Amino acid sequence: MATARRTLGERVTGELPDGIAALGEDDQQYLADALGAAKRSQREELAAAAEDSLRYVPKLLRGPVRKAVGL
Amino acid sequence: MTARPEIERIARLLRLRPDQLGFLHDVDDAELMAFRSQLTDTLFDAHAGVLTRLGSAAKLLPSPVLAKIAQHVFGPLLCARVAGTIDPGKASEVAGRLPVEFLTDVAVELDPRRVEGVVGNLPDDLIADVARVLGGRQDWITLGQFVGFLGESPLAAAIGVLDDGQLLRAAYAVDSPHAIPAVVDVLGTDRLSEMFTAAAREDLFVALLRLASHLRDDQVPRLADAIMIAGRGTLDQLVAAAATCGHWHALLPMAAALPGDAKADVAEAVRELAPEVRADVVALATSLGVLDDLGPIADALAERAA
Repeated sequence: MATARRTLGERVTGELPDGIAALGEDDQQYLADALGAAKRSQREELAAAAEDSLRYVPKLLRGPVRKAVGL
Repeated sequence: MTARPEIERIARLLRLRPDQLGFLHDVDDAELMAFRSQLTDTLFDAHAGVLTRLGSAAKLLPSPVLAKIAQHVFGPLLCARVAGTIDPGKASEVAGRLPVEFLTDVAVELDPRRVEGVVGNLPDDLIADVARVLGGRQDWITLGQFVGFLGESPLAAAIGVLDDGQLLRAAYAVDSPHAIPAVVDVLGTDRLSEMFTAAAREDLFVALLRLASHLRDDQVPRLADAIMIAGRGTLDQLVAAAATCGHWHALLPMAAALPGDAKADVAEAVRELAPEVRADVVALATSLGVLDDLGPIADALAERAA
């Protein structure tokens, strides 16, 4: 089922500055979608990096590190 | 100068190219800055829990291991996100173990507000090395956004490795205009004079006027001295730049501090301006309280403004 795209106002904290709020709907949605994509990329990259990092962690410390990171 | 710094910064945060944000050109800088701050907070806070846990895990690992993980796994963007959650002392140790090119890549992605403690712990030579690489890459945005977060000594180190043109371009992109007086404090009058020469050579008077527009009152005479050392041939270019970018509020106090014969040269350049521009400049000079100090410049303005 398709979900409604989140608007720019929904994606950022606080009131949009007047000049941004005055942009056309398409332009605001373009910014909202780009922000959403940047957040998704960041989430995926963080998850992958946390897991990959363990390859460099000395074996003795892997358990505590896993626990600290929440893996 | 190229795309507006604020639009470039927003594009960088959203992983877009500046030309994809052409619709932002009519939004003023203050509003773009406020919007960028919202975007930055949104991106940094989006995964705050994960970032904090990674910062906690970093406490368990020695710096050499963290440096390897930073370089080989995290990469610049994620390092920049995590950096603010790591103890500043340890983060500085790790930074010292990273290749300068990589560290520069991290600097590009950082939000200086979130890593003030880390930056404050870095040795001056490391700051200078990163500034040199950023200058070589012509990354004025990153250089400009760190200016307000450097103490006098690291600021001097960074300024020392940039040439005059690079310094002007970085000044144009400075994130916090209130930091500009600190830059001018570090620069001697000779260096300021060389910047005027560079501005004339590289067509950077708009950048120079932006820098001048944020000076403290006591710094204005130093800039006037620097103009005189640089040579009066730069004066008409300075007037033309003010006419182009509208930074009369920067030029007028400087012009008022010039010696009488140099004011006469400025007056000649002012006579070439359109009458309506002269009228606006007279009004501005009056509001700035410098009209009476402009001498022949005020006379030239009045000729056409009348």
